[in-house]
Amino acid sequence: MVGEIEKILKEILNDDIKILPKERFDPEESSKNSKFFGIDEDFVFLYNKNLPVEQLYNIKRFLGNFLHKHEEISNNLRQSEILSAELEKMIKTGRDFKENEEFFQNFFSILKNSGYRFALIRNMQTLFNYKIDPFTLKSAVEKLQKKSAISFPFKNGELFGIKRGFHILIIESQTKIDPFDKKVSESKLVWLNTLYESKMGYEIDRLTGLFTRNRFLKDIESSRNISALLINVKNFKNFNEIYTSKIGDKILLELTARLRKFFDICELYRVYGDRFAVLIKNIECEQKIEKFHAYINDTYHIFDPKTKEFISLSPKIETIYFTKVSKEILEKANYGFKKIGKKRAVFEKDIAPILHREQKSLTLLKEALANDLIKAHFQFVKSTDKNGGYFEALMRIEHKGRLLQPGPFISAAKERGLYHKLNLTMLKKAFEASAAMKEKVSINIDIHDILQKNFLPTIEKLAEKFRNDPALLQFEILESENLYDYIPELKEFIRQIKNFGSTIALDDFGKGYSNFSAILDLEIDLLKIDRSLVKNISSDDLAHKILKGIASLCKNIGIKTTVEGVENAKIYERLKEVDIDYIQGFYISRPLPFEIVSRNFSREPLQKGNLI
Amino acid sequence: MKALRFYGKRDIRLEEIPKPIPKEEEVLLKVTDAGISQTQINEFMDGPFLINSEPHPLTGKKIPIVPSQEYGGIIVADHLGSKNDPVGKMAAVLPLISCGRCEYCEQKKENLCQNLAYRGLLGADGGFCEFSAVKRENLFFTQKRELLTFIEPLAVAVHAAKTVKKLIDLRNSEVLILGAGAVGISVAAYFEQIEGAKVYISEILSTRKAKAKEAGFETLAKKEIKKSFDLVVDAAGTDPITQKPAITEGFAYLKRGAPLLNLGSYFHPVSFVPAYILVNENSLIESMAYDSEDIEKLKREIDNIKTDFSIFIERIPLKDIVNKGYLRAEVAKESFTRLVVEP
Repeated sequence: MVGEIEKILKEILNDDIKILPKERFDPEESSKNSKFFGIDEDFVFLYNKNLPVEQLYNIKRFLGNFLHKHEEISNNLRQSEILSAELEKMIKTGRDFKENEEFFQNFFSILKNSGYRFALIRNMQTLFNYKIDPFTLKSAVEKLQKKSAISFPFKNGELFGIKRGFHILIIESQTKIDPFDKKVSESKLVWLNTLYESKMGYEIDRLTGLFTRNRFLKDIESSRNISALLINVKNFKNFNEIYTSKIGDKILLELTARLRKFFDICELYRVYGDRFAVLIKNIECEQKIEKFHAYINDTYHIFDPKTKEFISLSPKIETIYFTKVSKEILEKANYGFKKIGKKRAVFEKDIAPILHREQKSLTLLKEALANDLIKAHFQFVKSTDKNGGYFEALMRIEHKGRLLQPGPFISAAKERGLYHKLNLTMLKKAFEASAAMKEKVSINIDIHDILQKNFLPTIEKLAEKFRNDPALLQFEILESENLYDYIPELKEFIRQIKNFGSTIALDDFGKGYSNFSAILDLEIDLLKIDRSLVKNISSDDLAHKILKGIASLCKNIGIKTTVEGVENAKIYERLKEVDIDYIQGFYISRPLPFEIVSRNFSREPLQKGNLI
Repeated sequence: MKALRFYGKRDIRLEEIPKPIPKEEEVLLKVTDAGISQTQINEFMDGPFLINSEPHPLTGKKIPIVPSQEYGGIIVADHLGSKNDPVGKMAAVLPLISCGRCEYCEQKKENLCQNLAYRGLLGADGGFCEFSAVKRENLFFTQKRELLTFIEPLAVAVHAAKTVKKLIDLRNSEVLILGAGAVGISVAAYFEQIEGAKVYISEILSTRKAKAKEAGFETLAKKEIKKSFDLVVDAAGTDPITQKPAITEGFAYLKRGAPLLNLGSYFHPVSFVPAYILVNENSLIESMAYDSEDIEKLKREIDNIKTDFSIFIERIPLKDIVNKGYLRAEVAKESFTRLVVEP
């Protein structure tokens, strides 16, 4: 177009007119032979004749306006051509989206054609890099961890980077980057990210960009000879509670970054909120895991935007290494993290045996329930001032003709939902025994029972069924770690039991969780002093004094006491000096089946003759 | 009287306005010479930059303003209309008007006055008119007519020398001046003849270069410029025909540690990589207008400046100022060095 204008002006003015772009113009050279003026920032007008100033001035104004408009129009035209080509491409990529370098290269060919260097990064992994040096690339990506866009002058050029979703695009240019090119690049990145999310969405975690549990399960199915490291942030909940979930997210992001740095070529997954997994192809692990712990546990410095300060945190990271993976790996890991207080566990070595044992006991328990092998035994608890007393109902499991203590089965039963069935069986047998013997029977319950909604109605129904005298039923609440977290629920339960006409005992006092002020508040009827406080009283004077103190305290506030663990005559004799209400132990009586206690039972301390 | 007034970008009007009446301390000057400077051409093409559209705090004056900050003439009357001295004398007008009260004026740095006005550019009428009322203290008497439009650029040169001398010794130093317009020539003359510097002029327009040579200055073509000057002076400013503005190009010609002195007014952004200035420890220094001390110095030295400024001057009548002045300065710059309007 400029050439045509030049031609027309040549003819009109009958002069050797030239319109030159500035970069092709040497003023010193040209001013020797011709005259000239600058039309605008880009073009110079050269002429030879003595043309009238007014004419030159008009030519300058006209050319200035014309070239400006011409540039504007051709620029718009170029842009709309690019846009229509890009739209075409976008429609196509919607269909042909592929995860390979050729696709990415083709997708961003506009950048290559414009002479830019550029790189595409997803989740810290470089998908494609066209000529940007690794150092520049790395520092740009680091900067984009904190911002969604960066732009730096770079010599006479520019370094530009944007982050959209999982993707980062870095462009390096020797000249300023055309704002239009930036916009096109951004829209392409948004589009690429949308495509990726729509294809991979349920397999990619939004926060960390790691693969999800879905993908994990899919991947382990299709992988052979692979090992896995499961990672748990033990105290993650605390961080979320003490700070905010935003800080919590930042911890997870920092952890993710460390995982990526450490396991650069491995597949990484976020399988639960605070649990991660790594699939490892080569097995040289033990040492690597040790190094990993040092790295991953190193203090986290998290910036708190509210206080504008860094918080130093130490997440407690636990790992379980699976030398082989199986479908149930996640359940196994959950079990392992719950059971093992170990920082570094190897599943096959540390957890599998426990799991195996527990599964065995579960099978046994199920069998016992199905075949009525859950037995109730009754141990006589003797009153110290008269012949009377009460019986404590105790669970025994019959297995191959032997009776097993229930202890090892209870926690497994609780976890697998068998506990209530188990306890209901015991309740029935205890209620039945109390009704039949017309004796007071004490039944063990724990907080799980109390928190169960239909527990009280069950008691009432059973009592009705067996025609129990409620006064002959006592409920022994097991002291446990979390018992005192439920004071209101406990108090309500105790109130209702007392209304019903039964009494309440608190078991295992002195075992370690005891909270005396809470005990007073609960208004229990009887306190059962744990055997650990009793076993040494014959030799240990201090233990004797403590026991005496507890006993007299309870007497003063009107709580009855039972001492358990009375195993021999020595203890029995020494206890005579202590003001307690009941004694229990092998020296008094062993737990015995209902058939025996109901028929003929000696209530005297164990003598040779009444050992049944 | 006839006057040219600036109204805005590409809007100058030759019109009839009232003749000024001198107040006490003022005289009435019949303008004989008023220079067209590149600064005024820039204001016309792309301005207003300096010319004020709001009332000036010191003078209350705003657009329309009579341009030209480099002018002079013959005194025709004092405020009483008498024929007493200095009536009949020739004088250049010193365009800088300062408030005399601000902290800069108190330090005698009138060029930095917080309420600075400048005839023909900022808050006061200049020389493109028949008569001008001027305070006696703003007169610079001379008997050489060709100096009337060069007193202002010479005063600028005196100030520039003072500024530069805080950093380097000018005597025998090698100085390259970019641009052979009125300012370039004035600086060359003053630095060479008064300060004893070894001066070279680089000018891309061959006609201007030839004039500078004719006046006795050493000129250099771009290719001949060695890159080892003690000082480079940018007296060119923006020029649409150069690829690189002088203010950035000039750094390439400096010795390590040497400064670049800028006298050009750039109203558009200029880009350069500061590190290249840093590594050579070059510096950019600016010198703006002049102060009262510079004028005293110029009065003492003016007769020692031997350059014949008349060879640069081409005179045009006021009635032709638009076509033969402004428009020509825009499209035929190579055809003159100094256009002087004769009202």
